[in-house]
Amino acid sequence: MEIFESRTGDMAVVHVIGRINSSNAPELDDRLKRLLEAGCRRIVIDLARLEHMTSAGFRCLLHAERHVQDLEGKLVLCGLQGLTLELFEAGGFLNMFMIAWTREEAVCRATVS
Amino acid sequence: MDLSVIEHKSALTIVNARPEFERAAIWLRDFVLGAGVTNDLSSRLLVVLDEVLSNVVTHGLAGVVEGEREIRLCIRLRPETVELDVVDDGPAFDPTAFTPRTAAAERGLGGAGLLFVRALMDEVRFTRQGDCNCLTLCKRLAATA
Repeated sequence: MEIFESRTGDMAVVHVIGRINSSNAPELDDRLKRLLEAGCRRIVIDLARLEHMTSAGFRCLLHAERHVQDLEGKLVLCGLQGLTLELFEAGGFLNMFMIAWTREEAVCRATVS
Repeated sequence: MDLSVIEHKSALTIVNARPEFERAAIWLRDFVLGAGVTNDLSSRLLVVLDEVLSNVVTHGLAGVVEGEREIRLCIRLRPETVELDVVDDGPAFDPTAFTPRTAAAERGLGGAGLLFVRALMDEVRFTRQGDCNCLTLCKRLAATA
């Protein structure tokens, strides 16, 4: 798994590439926590180049979503495709997150107050 | 079991420790790469392996000192299916008899792993053999033109 992030003000766009599983999910969890601790309140997570994610990854995203809500911020996911999208559907996670199709749309939705 | 129809087979024994999951994943990736399995099927197998191992270590062998117990893995590629066995000696637990709620809002954080296993595999079989849980995960291979 590789994680790239870019920050502008309180907005962070996080691009996750590869595979998220129970071995590396704590690394993503840590990165998201650090962004929130650093003052980011609008987070876009781009999963367009994710091969797959196990339930450990979903747990991590749900933790971040709850944390962001507690801080009255916004977390938007984008780039769901292939097996990743299939897992969102199978696990009943689609209505648990704000989801956009493109990164641009996700940034717009995260920006709107 | 008709051994003549097994085209490729590999086995690995790991211990009940999370760092072993990566070793198991590498073993699985190496096998499917050598067997010419598609990337999509490889990903499906990696997801279910991670889910099943997590369940065994987190629930079945909860409280057991890390590294003290063995988990046996075996993968077989047949002409029409790929089968993955996961065998552990934890207390009897039949995941095929357990139905988690599909809606994540009702289910909470748990239960997704089992939903994924069922969604990604065509068949999940459980048998209790002696003191061991034996879970077999089967996926039909896509027909080739």
